[in-house]
Amino acid sequence: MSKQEWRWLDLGALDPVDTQVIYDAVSVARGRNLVKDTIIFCYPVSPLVCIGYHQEVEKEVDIEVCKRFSVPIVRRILGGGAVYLDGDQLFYQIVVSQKNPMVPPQVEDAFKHFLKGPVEAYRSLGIPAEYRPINDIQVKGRKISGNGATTTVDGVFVLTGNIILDFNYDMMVKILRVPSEKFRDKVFKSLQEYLTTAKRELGLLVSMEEAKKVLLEGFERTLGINLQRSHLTPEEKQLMQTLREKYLSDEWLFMPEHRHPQLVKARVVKVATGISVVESAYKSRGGLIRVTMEIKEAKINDILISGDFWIYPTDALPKLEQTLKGATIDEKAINDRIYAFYKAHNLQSPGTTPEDFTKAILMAAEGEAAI
Amino acid sequence: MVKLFEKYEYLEGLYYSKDHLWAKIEDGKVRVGLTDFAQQIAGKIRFIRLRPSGVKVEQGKTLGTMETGKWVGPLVSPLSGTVIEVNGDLRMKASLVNEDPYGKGWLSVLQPTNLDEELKTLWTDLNKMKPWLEQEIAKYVKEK
Repeated sequence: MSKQEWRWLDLGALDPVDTQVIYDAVSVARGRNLVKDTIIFCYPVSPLVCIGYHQEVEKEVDIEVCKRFSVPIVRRILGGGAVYLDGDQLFYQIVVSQKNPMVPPQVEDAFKHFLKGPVEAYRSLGIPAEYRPINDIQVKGRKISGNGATTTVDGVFVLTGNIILDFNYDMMVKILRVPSEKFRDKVFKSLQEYLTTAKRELGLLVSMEEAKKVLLEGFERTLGINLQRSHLTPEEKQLMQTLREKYLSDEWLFMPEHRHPQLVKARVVKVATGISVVESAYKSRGGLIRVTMEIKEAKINDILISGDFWIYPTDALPKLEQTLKGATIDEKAINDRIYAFYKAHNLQSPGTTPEDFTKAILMAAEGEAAI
Repeated sequence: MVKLFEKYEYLEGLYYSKDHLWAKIEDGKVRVGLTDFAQQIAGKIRFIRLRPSGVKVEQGKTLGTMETGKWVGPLVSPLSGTVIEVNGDLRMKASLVNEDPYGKGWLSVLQPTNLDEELKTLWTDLNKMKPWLEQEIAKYVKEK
């Protein structure tokens, strides 16, 4: 069987907003049958913060911090959470008609199929990367690529992701809106632990040219296609112009009609598949209980409890936290551990019951479950 | 009456589109939603965004979007009309579509503009729909 001929757009450094406008424009052109199935390579000339299609910008991102650092915030047409993107990441953007028999109907299968290219690319660089369902690439349990997808009403499947050469953990954490500094510290530590980069794995910074070369080969080899270098058509350039205006509008960025009527009481940042940092503030009669927790595979991996409730003996909290590590996110499992701890340490907490702690933990976890 | 195709529920008396939405005629208006098959295939739905009341939608065009995992997909309108009501509960709890796709998880109510003509393009006889649905099940559920 002869190989499929696809179009390859190697666009280099783009205006940060255009890195998200481009695949939207190409998907419209593909939907109108104006262009062939396409893979785009690009990276932003300066950093941007990119939020998921259904997210509320003020809840996720500290807009003031972004302004201070002159980092634009862009809503993408794809799902997922807020991310910090910069020129140390090579973006790949796959725009393919669903009619192409290569595209599996199930989303998970489609991720698996198209992420073979980036997995191969990392391997060519000497990093033993592997696909992790549904949408991650990982190396030794750490995420090394973030990916999202959409299907348009015109029947075009779009998948975008990144080869992470290096990552600015500090900026990522700065731009996120968080309920407390404790939460911010926890997200920072979790990101450092569960998100890695080519630089960290190899001990050196791979050049953008090298990354492009291995990624191009990776896609051609694993998908069995020829990628012919090409350029944007005049229609696509026109579409970009129109879409750019939309992307820069308040209606698009803030989506005012999509506000949630009430604020959720829990805050969640998903770090990688199966790993989240969550926080809740639960009001017990004896005072506020604040729970900051890292959840790994539906278990408490780490937990910090603070607040203004009373507890005696006063040094009991760190030990209670220790007791809860490893507990399954389940009302009975958590309750049992807390009760046993109360009994063993003769704990007193006027106005705050053991069940209140369980409720605070479950409330934080519920936010995670909603994701 | 509920009818089962494998593990997917379909209700008699509704109309079904090839984009896996249902339509129910209610006093000349149309309530629409996602089928049980579509919600099962999609998995846990995290967000639903619907076009607001007053907006005109066309059959085969976007009525809204849904997000599952890291994928955003269109909700394709089964009929043309003006949106007159949207299910506000889905803003806080999109997973109602998973829990109760034909009940609390409804999406929008439309004032249809070309009802008689467009209904002819939808299925309402579940027996006639069966061969197509079997193909769809085979397509989406293979090797699972």
